Amino acid sequence: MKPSSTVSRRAMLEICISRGILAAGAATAVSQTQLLAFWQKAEGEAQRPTSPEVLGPFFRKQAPDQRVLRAPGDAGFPLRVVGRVVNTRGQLVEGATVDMWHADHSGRYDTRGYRYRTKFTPDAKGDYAIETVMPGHYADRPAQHIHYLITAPGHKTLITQAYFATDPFFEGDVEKNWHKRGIADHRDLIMPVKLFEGGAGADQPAHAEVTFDIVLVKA
Amino acid sequence: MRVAALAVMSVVSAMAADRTLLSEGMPNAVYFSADGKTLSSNCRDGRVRTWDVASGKLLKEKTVGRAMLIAPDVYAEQDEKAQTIRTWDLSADRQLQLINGTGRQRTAISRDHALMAMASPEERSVRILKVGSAEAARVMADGIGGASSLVFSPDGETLVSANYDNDIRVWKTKSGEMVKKVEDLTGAMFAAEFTPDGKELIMAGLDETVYIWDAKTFALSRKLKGHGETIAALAISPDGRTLVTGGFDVVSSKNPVKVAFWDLGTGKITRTVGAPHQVASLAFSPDGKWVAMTSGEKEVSLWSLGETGR
Repeated sequence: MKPSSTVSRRAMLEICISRGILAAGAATAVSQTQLLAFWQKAEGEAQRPTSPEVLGPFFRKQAPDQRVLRAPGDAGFPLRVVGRVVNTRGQLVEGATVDMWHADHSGRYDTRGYRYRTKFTPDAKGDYAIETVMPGHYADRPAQHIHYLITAPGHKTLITQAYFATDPFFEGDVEKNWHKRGIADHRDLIMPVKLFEGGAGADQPAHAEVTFDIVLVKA
Repeated sequence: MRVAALAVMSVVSAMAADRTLLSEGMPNAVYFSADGKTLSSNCRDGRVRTWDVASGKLLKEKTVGRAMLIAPDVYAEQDEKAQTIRTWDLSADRQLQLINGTGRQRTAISRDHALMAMASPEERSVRILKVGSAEAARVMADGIGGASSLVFSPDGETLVSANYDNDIRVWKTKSGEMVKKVEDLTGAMFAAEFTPDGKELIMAGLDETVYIWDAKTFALSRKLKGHGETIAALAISPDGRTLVTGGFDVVSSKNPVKVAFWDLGTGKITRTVGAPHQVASLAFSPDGKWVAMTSGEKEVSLWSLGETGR
């Protein structure tokens, strides 16, 4: 957060109005002290927009709404992807739809059908959960990744990708290698991975879990 | 069974490349010159190379930076740092156009070199410029993924953009009016070319299918299946009777793929040959007797189709 002395009254008003904390008509009646409090609230609630990435050549429209993408017997380590779709104030985005697609364990995209492809609407709280497998590596883009395309009324369409901090491609040092070979464009898209042990007494089989929240910007 | 296998082998051996023009640095787009005597390709090592078709001799090598041939004898040179695109006449070594303030763009030029089009994935727009003028004549909203193909009709009246978001948009170049939007495809079109008479537009891409559109109404007239892999490139013979499609393996651009020759009259594949890697580009010579292909790291292949051109 910037010190308030470097932010003009006008800039603070603009931020408060744009985030809906202050009505545009009320701006002239607000004292400097009140405005500072509003502005700090706005900055405190602010969520950084999710960084964009390219769409890539393998996107297919009209994917079915499916939350379980892995079929029994599919090769690959089970992966659960969870997250929520919000705006830059952390609020629920109404009417969002999410396209998600990735390569199978062997690094192959399904170009004939819709394996490992889904288009869904997050639940009433903006949350989503997808059961799939860790995407494979393929020669032309050798970092594991999941593609996303998110649209919502009144918001800028976001195209992005999630990467995995555990990917051998990053050689165990994401800070040093995140931009290796120019594949990932933004450090914040390389997500930490939680690993769950399976076995006797465990609720679920062994799997990995990634949280990928999506923050949309107003159009 | 054995007879059939032998027959297939003989077709393949008859179609082995008649000439391989050795190159370095990954040849990419390929075009014959208007007189058909030379063949040029921009290579990913930053050079455009030109060969004599009859002898296979390398005639010229020009260092161009990051450039792409976009028509016979025309290449677009992109400088991302300086944010410029320059188009050049290759044989005259003359700059046709300088455009400032550009990001990553796909570029096309009309057959008469009067119009240029540029598609920006960042701006989600397509611009049309009159060559020789720095101002955009038209700016049209495109889809969200960037153009996977961008092509002018032979008369320059129509511009078509296929987008990575799977949609196709067709505009009148004079007015910028969108006359057609195709929204029911479920895969990007990686290759597009109008037939020489301008009556049809042929496209192919991710979904392994060849789409033939009526170029007046942009209604789909035919769908051809049979290539059997994602299609990365296509070319149409000058007499409009033969189509050639080149494949793309979705796991690796370095896996071998197929090149299919189609009879456009029957819609059937007449011959299939192998290519070492993803096909980057295909071109027919103006007399229809040769097909050139770039595929892989070092080779430009030339097939002779004989006197009939088929």
